[in-house]
Amino acid sequence: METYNQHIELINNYLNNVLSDDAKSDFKDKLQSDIAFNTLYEEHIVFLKGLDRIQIKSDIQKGKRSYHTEKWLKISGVSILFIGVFMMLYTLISNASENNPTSNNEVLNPIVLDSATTQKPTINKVLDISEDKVIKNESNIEEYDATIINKTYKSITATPGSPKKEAQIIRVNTQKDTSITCKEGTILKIKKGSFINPNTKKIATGTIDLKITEYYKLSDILMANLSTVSYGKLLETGGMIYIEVLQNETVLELKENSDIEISFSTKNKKSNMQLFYGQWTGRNINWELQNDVLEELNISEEIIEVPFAVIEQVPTFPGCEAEGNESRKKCTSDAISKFISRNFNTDIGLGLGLSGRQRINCIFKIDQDGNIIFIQSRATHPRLSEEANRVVALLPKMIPGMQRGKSVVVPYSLPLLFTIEGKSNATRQFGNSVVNDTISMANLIFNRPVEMDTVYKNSRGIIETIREVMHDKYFVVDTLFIQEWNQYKKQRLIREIDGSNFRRFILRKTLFEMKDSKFKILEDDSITRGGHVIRIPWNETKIPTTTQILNLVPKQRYSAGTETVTAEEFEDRLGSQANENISSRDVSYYVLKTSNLGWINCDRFINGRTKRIKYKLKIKNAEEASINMVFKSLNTILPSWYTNGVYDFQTVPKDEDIVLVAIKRKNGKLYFDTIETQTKVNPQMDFNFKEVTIDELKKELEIFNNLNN
Amino acid sequence: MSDQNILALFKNGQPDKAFKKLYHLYPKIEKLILSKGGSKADASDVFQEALIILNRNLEASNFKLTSSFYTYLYSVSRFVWSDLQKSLSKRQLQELNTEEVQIFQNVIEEKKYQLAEHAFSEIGKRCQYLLQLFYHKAMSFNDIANVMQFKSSKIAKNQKYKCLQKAKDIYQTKLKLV
Repeated sequence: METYNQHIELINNYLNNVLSDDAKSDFKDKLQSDIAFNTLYEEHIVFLKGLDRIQIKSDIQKGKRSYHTEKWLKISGVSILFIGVFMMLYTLISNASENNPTSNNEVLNPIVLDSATTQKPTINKVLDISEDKVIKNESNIEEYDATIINKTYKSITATPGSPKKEAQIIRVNTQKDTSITCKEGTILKIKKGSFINPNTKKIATGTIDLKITEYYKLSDILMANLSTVSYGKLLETGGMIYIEVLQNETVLELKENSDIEISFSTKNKKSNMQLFYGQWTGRNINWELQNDVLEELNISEEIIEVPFAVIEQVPTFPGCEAEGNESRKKCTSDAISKFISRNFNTDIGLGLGLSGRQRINCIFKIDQDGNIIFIQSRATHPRLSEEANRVVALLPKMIPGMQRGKSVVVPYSLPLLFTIEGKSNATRQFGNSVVNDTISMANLIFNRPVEMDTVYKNSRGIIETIREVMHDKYFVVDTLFIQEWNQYKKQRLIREIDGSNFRRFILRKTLFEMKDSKFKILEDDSITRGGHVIRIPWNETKIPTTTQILNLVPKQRYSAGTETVTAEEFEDRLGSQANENISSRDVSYYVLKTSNLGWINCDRFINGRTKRIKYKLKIKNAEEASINMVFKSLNTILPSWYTNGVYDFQTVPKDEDIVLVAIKRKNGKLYFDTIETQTKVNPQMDFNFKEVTIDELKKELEIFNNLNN
Repeated sequence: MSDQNILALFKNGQPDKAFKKLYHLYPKIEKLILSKGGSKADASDVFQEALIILNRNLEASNFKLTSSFYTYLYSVSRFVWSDLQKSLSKRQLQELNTEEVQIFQNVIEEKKYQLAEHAFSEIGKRCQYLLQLFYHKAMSFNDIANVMQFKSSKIAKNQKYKCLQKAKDIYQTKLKLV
């Protein structure tokens, strides 16, 4: 990077001819000898020429415009002459009535006026507010109201010669900040030195004239042929103003990065009013939303997925922030394997009547914020893949992976292997690390999963500890409190003492004296020493037997295009707008995941069922819909893999009753169809998509829950 | 207005006025493009491209206009259009004379610059502004920092390199796509 900068600087100096002769010849030698430098030089030249084009283009545009203006002026000059002659003849010849010629005059006057005064040829047309346009405007009066204009744009100066409202002219000193109240109540606040002379590019000094026209009344707006449309969308207007700033007949421009504050006078204020500026296109004015563009240095690049194996900077497991990509990569994959192996409940494997080597294929993605999303796993039994999903979802937030300096989504696949041997011994192997342990056949506690927004690992984790220390089993522990708790621990306001057969917490007095303290002293079971409170956690006997051990899992997140969102946010996004980012696959993943149907793995069919076939679907009108197979007998879903226009379900049992469920999202709308059929070789079918809402879609899927009941 | 006068306008640094004069030739070029199946918008683009190439050549020291502006622009436009349509056959290419080869090369080169320009147009307004101040207006980093309200000239400098790098990245990816 540093050398790159130096090179560029050197090239610039060379091109600007500020190098000494020696340096020049050095430079030329370098061009000859250093290939990389040479390509950099060539590239820079190309880039500079590209930059030049912009300058040349603007010159050409200028030339073109003045050419057109000249041409147009000539044509209009000739036509005016012609009309003039024609009118003279007409008035001379027609003696029939004296009124007619005058009315004709009225119509024609604007033409003459127009062509004589307007500099820009692009718009000039005879002003005609055609009958139907007026009517249309009026029918929409209720709906619009609020649009505003800021900035003096040259294009507006070329307003067609409309029956203009008379402008107010206010003289202002540019050396002072000024506040102006106009006739109809608009207040302008202008900072000193806000205007520049476009010809000299210098800040205008001295006095300037502001020409302000206010359009509040509907009649004024209509008369000026101002419509309130932004790219075809109707706007409500809260008033429009037209400002022109003049100094000695030169139109001034607003300086870059400075602005005029405009307060519009409105009787009934409405929220969500935004500032638009107007630009004439043809006969109508188009209002463009004025955005504050300060963040433009970030260009958004397509979100790409980069596999873990090849990414420049791997996503990093917290605690693996070691130097070097390779060591980070190893540390992270080890940490993930270790984490999964520690948290995976192998007990689940025992009750399922499985034996031998078990393989669970787990795929998930680490998104740009380091969240774990899109978890999918395939196992020999749905319960196993459920457990795998649960554990993967527990993974902590990672430091996202980077490619070319931008965080990207990184897919990660993880095969989980373990062997179920007999009933008391299981060997687990996850990735690289092998863990041997004996599974105690103690009572399996049914851990109810509860969605939280943070990860807690143990069934008896920090929440339970806090509740114990607080001596309050209903104590509300949220993420914030856990952060505070850890903070206090760091500050030694809370100390944990682990003895051989006891555990104690010392809470410092300060905690109880703090404002809004959540810490309270309960009379009966606290001992104070030196003003501090010593708490002994509940012992086994005190733990209420009715306590339900909650299994805290992070909120399931779904991918909606480039972002990951919670279930509520997902539906919000679906409903609120045509969010193009959300693909059919996202939707079907979301809906199926939130339905009660289990997922099934095609490997499962390898054991047991008799005849197996490969099932591939080719569908004409699929348009990248997401298609899944629901087995009536099993209540499970088999996802398909979509490649090259073919939906591949891999191996399935033959003559099985299935329902093919297709979900499609197109232009912000959801479509859905199902086909009931049996699995057979070379299936032929077409879907007949119907538009549905997300709720309808969910209802449709609920039906499958009861298929075999 | 004679070609000499137009040439003088170019030399005096009034290219916009020169272009205005040259636009008198536009209707003829438009006819050419229309006759080859292009639209009016195509014609306008082609003519603009021809003017850019002309301007670039006039700036180069070793270039001499051997024919009239009209002849030159006509042949450049023809090449720009056939290149756009990819309609030149190998045989046609072989039959070109030296002058035409020169023009054809210019057209091909200009395409590269066009890519660079597109890359430039995609880097965001502030980046564009910054690079323009530096390269077109030849402002110092100090002045740029003042105008663009950067905290120091160093930041402006840094920002400029970033912008440049970004533009070049985009250019490279575009180049690969072509």
